[in-house]
Amino acid sequence: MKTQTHAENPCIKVEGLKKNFINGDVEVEVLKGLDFSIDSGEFVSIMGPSGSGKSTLLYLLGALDSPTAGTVWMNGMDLSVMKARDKSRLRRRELGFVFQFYNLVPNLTVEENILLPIILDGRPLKEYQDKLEELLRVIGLEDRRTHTPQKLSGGQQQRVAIARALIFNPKVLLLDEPTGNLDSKNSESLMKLVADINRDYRTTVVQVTHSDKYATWGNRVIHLEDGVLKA
Amino acid sequence: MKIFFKYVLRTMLEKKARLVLFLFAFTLSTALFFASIGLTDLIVDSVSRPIVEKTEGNHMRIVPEAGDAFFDMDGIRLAGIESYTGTIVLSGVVQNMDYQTAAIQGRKYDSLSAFTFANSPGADDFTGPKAIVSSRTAGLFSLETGDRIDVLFAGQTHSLEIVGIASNEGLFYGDTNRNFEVVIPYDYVGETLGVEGLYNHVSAVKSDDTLAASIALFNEMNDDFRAVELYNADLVASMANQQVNALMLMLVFIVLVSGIIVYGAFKLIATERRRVIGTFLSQGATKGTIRRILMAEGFVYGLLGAILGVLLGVGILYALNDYSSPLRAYGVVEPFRFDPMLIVYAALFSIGFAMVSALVPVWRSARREVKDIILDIREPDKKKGNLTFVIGILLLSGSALLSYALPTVAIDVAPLLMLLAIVGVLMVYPHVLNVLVLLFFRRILPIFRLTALSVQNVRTSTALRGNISVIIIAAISVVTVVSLSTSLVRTVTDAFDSMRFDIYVSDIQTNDPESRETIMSALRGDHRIVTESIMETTYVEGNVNGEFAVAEGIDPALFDDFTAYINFADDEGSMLDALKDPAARNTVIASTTANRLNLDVGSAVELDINGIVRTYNVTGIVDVRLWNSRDMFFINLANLREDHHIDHGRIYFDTYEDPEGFAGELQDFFRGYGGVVQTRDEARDINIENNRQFSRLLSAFSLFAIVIGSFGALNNMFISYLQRKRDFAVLESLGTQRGQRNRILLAESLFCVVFALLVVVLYGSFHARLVGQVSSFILLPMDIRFSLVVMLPFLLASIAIYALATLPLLIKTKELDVIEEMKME
Ligand SMILES: Nc1ncnc2c1ncn2[C@@H]1O[C@H](COP(=O)(O)OP(=O)(O)OP(=O)(O)O)[C@@H](O)[C@H]1O
Ligand SMILES: [Mg+2]
Repeated sequence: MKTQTHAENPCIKVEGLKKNFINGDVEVEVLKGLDFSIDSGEFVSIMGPSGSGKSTLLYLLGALDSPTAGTVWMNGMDLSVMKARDKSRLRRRELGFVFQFYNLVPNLTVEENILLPIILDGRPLKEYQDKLEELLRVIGLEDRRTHTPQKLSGGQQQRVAIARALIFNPKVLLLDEPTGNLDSKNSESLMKLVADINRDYRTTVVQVTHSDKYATWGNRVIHLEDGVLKA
Repeated sequence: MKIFFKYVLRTMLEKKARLVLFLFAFTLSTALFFASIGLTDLIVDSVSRPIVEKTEGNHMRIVPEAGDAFFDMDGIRLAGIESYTGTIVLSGVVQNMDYQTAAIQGRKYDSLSAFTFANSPGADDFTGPKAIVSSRTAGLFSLETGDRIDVLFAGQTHSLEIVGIASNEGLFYGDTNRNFEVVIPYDYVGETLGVEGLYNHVSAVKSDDTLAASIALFNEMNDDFRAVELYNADLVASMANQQVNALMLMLVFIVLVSGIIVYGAFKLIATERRRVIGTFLSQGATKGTIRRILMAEGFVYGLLGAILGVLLGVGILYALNDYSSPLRAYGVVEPFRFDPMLIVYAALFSIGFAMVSALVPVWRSARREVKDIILDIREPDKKKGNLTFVIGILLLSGSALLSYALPTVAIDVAPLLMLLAIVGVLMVYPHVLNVLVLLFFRRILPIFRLTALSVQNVRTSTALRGNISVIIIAAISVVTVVSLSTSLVRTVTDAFDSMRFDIYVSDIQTNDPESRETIMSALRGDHRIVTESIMETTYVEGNVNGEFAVAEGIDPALFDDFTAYINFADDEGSMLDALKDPAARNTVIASTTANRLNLDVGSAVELDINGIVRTYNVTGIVDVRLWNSRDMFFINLANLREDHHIDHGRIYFDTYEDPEGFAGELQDFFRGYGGVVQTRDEARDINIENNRQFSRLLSAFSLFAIVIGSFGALNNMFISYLQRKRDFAVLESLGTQRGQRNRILLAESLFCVVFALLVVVLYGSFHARLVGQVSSFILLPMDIRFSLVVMLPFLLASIAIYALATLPLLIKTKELDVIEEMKME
């Protein structure tokens, strides 16, 4: 594995990032030109009022949306010039994304949902069996592995979504309010899990959160307000 | 990939009702596809089979160059032919069988091997006054071997002993109680006529692979004889074509209806699944993976639809086979069969249809961001809606412009024009609906409350809009068929009303100058007949440069006056004036013929009739509308008689008596000549009846369109309900009652129907014009009008059908589990 010096080659680099939405006839500027970078192995929390563009930013980092202007570099690669195929591979192998609203596949079981990135990549599932067991234990859903998402509570679905994001040992983990639907006990264990992953695998973590408490689990907080960064 | 297949199956089985609806949609459209393609084969078959069977494996007819009616075969060279069979063909009347006309065949014993007997007559049995009839004829007239029949031919009555009863194949294939074959020993017929050793009909089997080569070789090697085709394959094909074309038109409607249903259903599923697709994408699936998953699903639906559809299609075809068999009245149904390739076509149709419909929604989202897909953010479709509207208006005004400004061009592309106009209507109406609802219903919303909610639903729900499309197409197909068949009846009636005659004699079988003279002088001498009104015409098949052609021999002095139906007027008076001098050999041709054979005024044509070729000059082209086969050369009767030795014909005249009673009396006289006497009313009714069989077939197809349409409407309502189950659950949790929900659903479906029918009524007149142009395209030119009065019962019936289609929905949706529906996935 190639080692990178933080200053020279950050894991995520954002330059002049703008995102506008067209609502009817009015164009809304949501992100008004962001510049920042996140080094490999960092654990960053993004905070800001509702509607400030946190999810929008995370989607752009996760190669799920394209900016109106500006660039996102992910591990040195410019997302805006990447082909759709390569973006797909990037999402599969190097990024883990946890949505604010879980987004599990309704007709697949818990197990199958977790293994989805592996299945999509066409890798032998056997190799990931241990990892699956470990994740199921961590999210506490070992006895629910054959259930479909409809039969799970919101918090349980959230945890399945996190397990899915982790199955591939991604380099970057992006989480949109992962504890938004969990009670404090579950939230605590989830944050611990994320922190462990960050520490053990040097996985870069970017989470959006409303909670000051969980924001401090990371090593840095980025404040977003009115589409610009607040120091 | 195993897991994806599992996912697909689970998804399909998740909602049983939807699975059933889907399968039903595929099954029905595949079945109808299968049945209508299969039916066209059956129709072509039912037209060609009796003709082909009658040839008994022969390919050509051999005629003497000298043009004699009876001739010997001395000097024939067997070049281009394998063998030939000489017979004497006459017409006769069987006196102890209701005086029925029969075709008499004088045959030699060795030619009987072509028949199948239960008990073959021996060579000794087949001499003298003997006869062979078919088992159908024997059955119809209760005859057995050993019985005697009295047959009038060649001016005498002959008592013939039945020595053989042959099965209804070959020569006997087309026997009916009005016209059947009687085979008599050649020697006996020849002796009676005094033409021993001579024939008047010789047919031969080709020796070369192609008929044309055989004919060419024979004609090259023989100076005294000429070979001509026994029957014209083009003619047979063109006879079937009209019906096939009309069927194809109906098939287009059916495919259009089921296409919209299936496409609509898949689009809805895709919308429903957009979040799932987005989830797959967010986890690193490529668009290709998604395509494969959806295609797998489409494939499974398509395959199941193909299997069930072919089974159902075979059933429908089986029933239609019975219906389309020409000898059905005699209990003779064509053996049921279909081209096995049809199964392959149907499977391709079903699977292709399903896979394309499944893929379209992915194509549509191809350029969208994963985030937009996963969050199910609708594209701002206002602009797209306007574009659709503009394209629709362009299509409609374009087709209207072409149809009115360039009618001749329009006819050549009529089916396409019709399709484009319908697509135009389908593209325009959503906008109209939008404007209507926004302008009108907004204001009365407080009065109607729930109903207004339904109307809003219709405006915004793709499923319910799909419903309107389906109803529009089904209703248009009904309008098409009803206006076609009413116009057909009206056109035939108009044609007969514009002809000046009381009595019409057709099917005269004798073809010699003496018999003709006997008949004509008898008519002229009859004081009950208006002598100066007697007019003859002759209608014979021949060919021009190898293309089939029909010659209609007329009396130029009388014909113009006889029919106001055809307008022969030209600058100098009448086109028929040019035909008055037979020596000039002029011909006036139908515009259809001119188009088909690429002829113009001034062209010279080599008309081959009865094996005799003469050159005629085209001096006029006339629109004959629906006269006879609409495709003919009018020539002077004298030319047919003197140049081509054709003497038989049809006779029209007026009478001072009551036509009905007089026609009955005349029938006795004409029996001896095989003639059939009809009054004008009878002739018209028979003509209408012949066309009616065809319009019944069309009606069957428009019934299919309605059934599949109403089913599609139900399907759409169900799907749109499934789509909005959550919304309904929310409404319910807010206190809406079940009765209110049912009122919403019912109002929705009624609004769809009423609006769709409104669109059809507005579009109807233009559509009728296009149908008229399509009818010209399929060579059945008619003036088609849209009459609301005629349409009203049909339109009301459709309202009833669609209202009924809602009932299962109301029953089915009684239970709604609010908690289950509102739970987030
Ligand atoms: N597709 C879209 N079209 C139009 N506007 C959008 C779209 N997506 C987001 N927005 C707008 O962008 C702004 C930022 O949205 P975003 O979801 O990023 O906020 P957020 O910071 O994540 O808020 P929350 O904390 O409530 O999740 C909002 O005003 C939202 O209305
Ligand atoms: Mg958010």
